[in-house]
Amino acid sequence: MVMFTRMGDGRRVETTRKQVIDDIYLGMSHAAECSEAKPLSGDEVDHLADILCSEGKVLGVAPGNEVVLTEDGGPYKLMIDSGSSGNGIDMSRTESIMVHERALGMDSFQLAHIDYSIKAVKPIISYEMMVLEKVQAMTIVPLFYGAMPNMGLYYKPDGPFGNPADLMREFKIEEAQHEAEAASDAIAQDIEFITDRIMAAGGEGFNFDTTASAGDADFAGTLKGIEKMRKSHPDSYIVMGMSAENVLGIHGEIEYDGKVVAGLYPHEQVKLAEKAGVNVFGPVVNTNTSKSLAWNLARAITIVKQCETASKIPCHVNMGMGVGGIPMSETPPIDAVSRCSKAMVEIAHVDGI
Amino acid sequence: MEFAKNMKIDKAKEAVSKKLGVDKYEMADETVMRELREELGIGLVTGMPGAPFGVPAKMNIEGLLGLKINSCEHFRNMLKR
Repeated sequence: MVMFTRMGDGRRVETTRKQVIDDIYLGMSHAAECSEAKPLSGDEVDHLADILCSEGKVLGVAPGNEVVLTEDGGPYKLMIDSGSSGNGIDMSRTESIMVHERALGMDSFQLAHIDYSIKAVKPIISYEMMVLEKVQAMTIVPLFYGAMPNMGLYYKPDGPFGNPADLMREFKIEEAQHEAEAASDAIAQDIEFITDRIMAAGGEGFNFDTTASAGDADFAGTLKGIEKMRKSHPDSYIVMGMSAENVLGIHGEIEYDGKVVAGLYPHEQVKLAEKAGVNVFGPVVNTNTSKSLAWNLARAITIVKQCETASKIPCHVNMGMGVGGIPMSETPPIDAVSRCSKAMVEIAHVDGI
Repeated sequence: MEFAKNMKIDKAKEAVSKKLGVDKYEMADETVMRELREELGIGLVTGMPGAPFGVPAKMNIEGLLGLKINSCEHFRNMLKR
C-alpha cells in the first residue's frame, strides 16, 4: 500500500511500510555506529513503524502518557522575523509570555533578550531583572531566564580573545587552545554574574540554550558556570539544552571533571551535566535533510533512549526544525512533528519535550 | 517536581496527582483540571475576575506542593510588614 511520509527537508514523498521499516533499521544502525547506542528491540521497531504508517494527519499519545514542555528562545518566537522562524507579531515580552502560558499550553517558559546570548545580556542585566519581576507578578508557570552561552562572541572580532579558527589556520595550535581556555573561563564568570542577578530578581532558574555551539571549550565553560550557579543557588532550576548531537573538538583536549569533552554524545554529555548541577537536560540529534523521516526518527530515538537510560535527571529532548527527527523546515509539518513527539514519548520514554 | 526534586516524569506525575487528589488521567483532563484549578486557586487559562493569577496563584501552588518558589520568596521579601 502506498502512503506518504516526509524527507528530512520537509518534502512529502510516497513510501511503503517496507521502505519505512528498512529506513528504521538503517537509521538505527547509523546511531549505533556513531554513539554505540543499543539498537531498538523488534517490538519497538514495529511500534515505530505503526506510528510512522498511521493514517491520521495528527497523532497523539495515549491518555496518561502526557509529558511536559520546556522551550528555548522565549517570547521572541511570536515576535521576531522569519530569520528565527518567528511569527512577526509585534507585542511586549510580557504579553507574549502570557500567550504562551495561557493559549499555547507551555508548562514552563523564559524571559529572554532579543540578542539571546550571555555576553549580550551582561550590560543590560538591570533592565532584565526589572522586567523579570514584572512578568513574574503576572505568570504562573516556572519562569526562567534564558540565553545561549554562544562562546563564539568572546572571540575576535566580537570579543577580546584570539579566534581559534584564525589561529589554527596559521598552525598556532597551542595559542588557539590557550585562547579557547581563557574564553571558557570568561564565560563561566559571566554566567555566575548573570545568574546571581536573575535569581536575586526572583527568577526560578536559568535555561542554557544551544550549549557547546562554539565547541568543547564552550561546553566546558558552561558546565563550570553552572557549577558556580548551583553552589550559590542550591534550589535554583537549571535547564541545559545542547546545540548538536556531539561536542565539536575545536580545542581537542579541554576537560571537565577530568574528562575530555570533545566528541561526547548525549549519554555522556548528560553525566557531566548531572555532575555540574543541571536539573533537566536537553539532548539533541541532528536531522539529515537527505534521509527520510523514518531514518531520522529511528536514529534520534536510538540515541535519545540511550541518553534517558544513562541519565539520573529528567531529559527533555530538543525537538523542532532539524532536531529530534523533525524535518529541517521553517514551518515543520504537523504530521511529522506529531509522529516524532509520540515516538519520543512512547519509545524513548522522554520526561519532556 | 522535575526541576525542584529531579524527578523523572512518571514519579513527578505521581507526586503531583497525589497532592491534587486526582489520578494521572484526570491530571491531563481539561474538564477536570479547569474546575480543580479554580477550586484550588492555582491559576486558570481563561480570564476570570478574582481568580488568583501570578504571585498569589504561585503561593497557593507552594502550599499545595510543599515547595518554596523563588519568585514568591522575592515578593515576600518586598513586604514591609
